[in-house]
Amino acid sequence: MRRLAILCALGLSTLCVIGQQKKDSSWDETRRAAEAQHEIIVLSIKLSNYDQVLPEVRKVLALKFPEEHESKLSREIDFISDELMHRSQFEIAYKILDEGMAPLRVNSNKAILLRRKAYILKKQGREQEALQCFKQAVALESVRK
Amino acid sequence: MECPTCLENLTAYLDDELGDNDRERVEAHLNSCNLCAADLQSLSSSYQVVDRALDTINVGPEIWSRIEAALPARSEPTRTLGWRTTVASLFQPPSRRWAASFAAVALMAAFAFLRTPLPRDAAPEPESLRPQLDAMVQEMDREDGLRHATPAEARRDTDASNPFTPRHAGLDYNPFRLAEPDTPDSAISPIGGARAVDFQPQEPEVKESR
Repeated sequence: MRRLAILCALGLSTLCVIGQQKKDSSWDETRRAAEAQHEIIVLSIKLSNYDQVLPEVRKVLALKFPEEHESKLSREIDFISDELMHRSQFEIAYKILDEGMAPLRVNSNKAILLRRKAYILKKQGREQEALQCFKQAVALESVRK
Repeated sequence: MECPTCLENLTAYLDDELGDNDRERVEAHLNSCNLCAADLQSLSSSYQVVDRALDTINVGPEIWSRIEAALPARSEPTRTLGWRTTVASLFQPPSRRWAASFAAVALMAAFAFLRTPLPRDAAPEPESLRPQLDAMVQEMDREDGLRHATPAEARRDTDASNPFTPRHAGLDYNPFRLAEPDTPDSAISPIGGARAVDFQPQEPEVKESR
């Protein structure tokens, strides 16, 4: 009986390790793909090829990030929208922020993008909309997930 | 007995409605008080005048028939009331049944209101958030300036002891690069957006001259 219990424990731990390795390699693939896609997006911005930015961002969003790595995705969207704002591409920035917020599950990550959207709206002089976005961000931050 | 008390009981005394005890007290006071005795005399005289007047009126049974005939014909109750009647009815005290129904409805409404949970942490009105929004914009402007500054400017302006202060990154920043440490959510400042991850600008090589 004791030998059977030890064998079962070993088997379970092996399965866990294999599962974790699979998960890690899966995330590593996702990360590499996102890293490469980011460079494409940045290049599009540098070349002022703004029509290509949103389709390329959608490819990043299609990678389906796990929840523990969602913060990287929110930082990516935040960064790209900020760069577009500095290049006066406000409408594209808003679209990227809205589409980037949709797959996020953690409230604090959503709040980051809402704050960025409020910032850009404020910069554009759209005060009331900026306040609404900021209000949503504050509401999300008060509800911890 | 005092005079006011006696005067209050005079009418009942004349109508023979007082108990034995009260009647004796009233009589004792009337015997000793001339003013109350005069009031009693006056009241008694009035009673006699009324009695005499009533005796002279003979009302026969036919008078009631004549009065009834003179009354206007009773019509069907109209469903529409005049506006005066309607307004007057609003100020009349409600019947017990209506009062009980209203009280029951009010109790149920109060019960439902107390049972309904109030939203906790309800978001404040947008206008009250304006100062916080302005503060956030100022902070993000400062970070933006740092992010797009040259490395030398960034080194000069950033506070090395603050882990949330962004360093120069510009378009070289890539959040998916393995060199970028994983910033936990709690480390994100509540004021601004996501911070550029630590990007250490390379120190220029200083060649020693001999």
